[in-house]
Amino acid sequence: MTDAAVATDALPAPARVRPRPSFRAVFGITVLLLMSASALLAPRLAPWDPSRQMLLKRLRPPAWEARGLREHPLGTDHLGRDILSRILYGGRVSLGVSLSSVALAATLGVGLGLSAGFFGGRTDAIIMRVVDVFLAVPYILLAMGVVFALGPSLLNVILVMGATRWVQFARIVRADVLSIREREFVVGARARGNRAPRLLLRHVLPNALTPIIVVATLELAFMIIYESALSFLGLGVQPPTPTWGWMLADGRNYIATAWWLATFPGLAIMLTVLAVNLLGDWLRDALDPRLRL
Amino acid sequence: MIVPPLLEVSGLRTEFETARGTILAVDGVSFTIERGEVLGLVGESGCGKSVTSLSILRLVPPPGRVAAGRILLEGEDLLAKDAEAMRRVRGARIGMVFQEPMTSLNPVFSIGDQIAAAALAHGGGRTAAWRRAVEMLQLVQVPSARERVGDYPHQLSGGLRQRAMLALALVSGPRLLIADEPTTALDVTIQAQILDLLRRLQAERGMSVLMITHDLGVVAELCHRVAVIYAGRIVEMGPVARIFERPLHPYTRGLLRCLPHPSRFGRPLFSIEGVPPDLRRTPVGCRFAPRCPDVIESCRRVEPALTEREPGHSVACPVST
Repeated sequence: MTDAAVATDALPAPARVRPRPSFRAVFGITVLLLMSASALLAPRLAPWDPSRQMLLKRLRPPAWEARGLREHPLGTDHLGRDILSRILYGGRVSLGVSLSSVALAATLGVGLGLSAGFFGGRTDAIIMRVVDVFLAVPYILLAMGVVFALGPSLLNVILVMGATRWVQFARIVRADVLSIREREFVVGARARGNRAPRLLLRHVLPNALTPIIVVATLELAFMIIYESALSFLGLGVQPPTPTWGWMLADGRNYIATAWWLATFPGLAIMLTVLAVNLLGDWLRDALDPRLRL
Repeated sequence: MIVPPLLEVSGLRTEFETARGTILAVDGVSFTIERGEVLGLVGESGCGKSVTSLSILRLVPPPGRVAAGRILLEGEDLLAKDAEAMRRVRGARIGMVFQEPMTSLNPVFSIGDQIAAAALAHGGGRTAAWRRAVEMLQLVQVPSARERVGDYPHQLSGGLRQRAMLALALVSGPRLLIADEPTTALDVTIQAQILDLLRRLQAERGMSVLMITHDLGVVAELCHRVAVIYAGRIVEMGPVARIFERPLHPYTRGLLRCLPHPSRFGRPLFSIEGVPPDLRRTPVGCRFAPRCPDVIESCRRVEPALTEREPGHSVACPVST
């Protein structure tokens, strides 16, 4: 780091240097890869069936504690299920659902936000009134209605989560587009005869990427919790399929007597969110040519 | 058969509908630009210069709209064209350069990338487009163009950015270049370089230029003819030499007296008293009357028409001689 700082001080800015993979990037990618790999390989890695109840061994602490058992490294829950196995399996649902629902929400929200901000007028009015409606109705309520009508399945949960959270993207993108479309390079591109789709994709969207990345990383954390809220209401992924959010909510009842029930899924969520945030942070800088010095 | 002028604007009227009344930003502006001619459009801020140029491209931002008039480019009425035909005109036949070199290039693509994209829109392959980008940068005299073609706008100085802008506007080989205060944001030495470059390119390519500026120095440097615009109307129009020697309209005279001059060293700069009228309620009679030093009674009743005093030199003032 110090070498680079001295170099930039001494010399005029070098023309183009690829962003160096920083600690943030390495950490973020490593954690996410490990998480995804362990989720995908859960059936091979997990020592136990995640739904197998062993009531004689209920509420055992992690292996390093006095009452801990070696075969349950992270302890057992109130039904005697192995926490490590449940976290491994839970990652499949939690990561899969949150990533796909964020992707869905981002696609919907960015598309609609771009159109609203760029075309203005009636398009804007209609899209933003829909956004208002989504904001006015509590999203959980909306999700409840939809899942109730369609029935709770993994796909439906993803669809509902994406379809209720796109407004976050739409609002932020629209606000950004409103200022970008007035910048002279957009007027200039129009004056060179570019068509609207090209203006949007090449001139407006790339310049609105920063807030989109930030919102996406925040939403990812939110989606994990959102999924558990839906599960809690009986509308999400159905027990006994383990999910991190559900484990967290479940462990809450035992927090005073058995801290490991809520702590380990909580750590898994935290680590994922941290990794995604660091990665998003790095991505934002890496994509901004102004910071490539 | 008489060849029509490259651009003929007549009776152009551009309005902005606002909650507090209609603003007549451009009110009955007429002028022509011949092939290979540089016309300066001069006036103070808010007088309708930029709106005129955006009207020609039909890019007036809403709620503005061209309410009346005709804009003929090589005899074709631009106002009658459909959106797609107009888009093709913008791409190929009219180029535009803006004032602010900081914001008129897309910050997330390199300049070469942007020029190549514009070249690509007019056919040819990727490598050809990239080669063309380098050529264009050489044409606008960007030093070591081959290396700088990959630079991003923030890595360039204001002058280089303005050159890149020019390359971008010229890549399609337009017959008409609209330059909206292209040197205003630059410092004086760079201004001179850009003006030199513009003049050379204009002469080499036989291009017509509509030069929008508030700087009479720029007009003197570059333009063949000049139109002085005040509160949305042209008040005086004629050959540059003539206007500088013998300005007829009191507003033009005022503008010329505002220029710093060595003979007035040490004395305060001259300025025209008052402010331009509110364009929602233009006064009856001459718009300049409230600020005019030579105003007579009839000025406040009848709006003077632009009349030709000498061949090619018109003025809208009954008082001036």
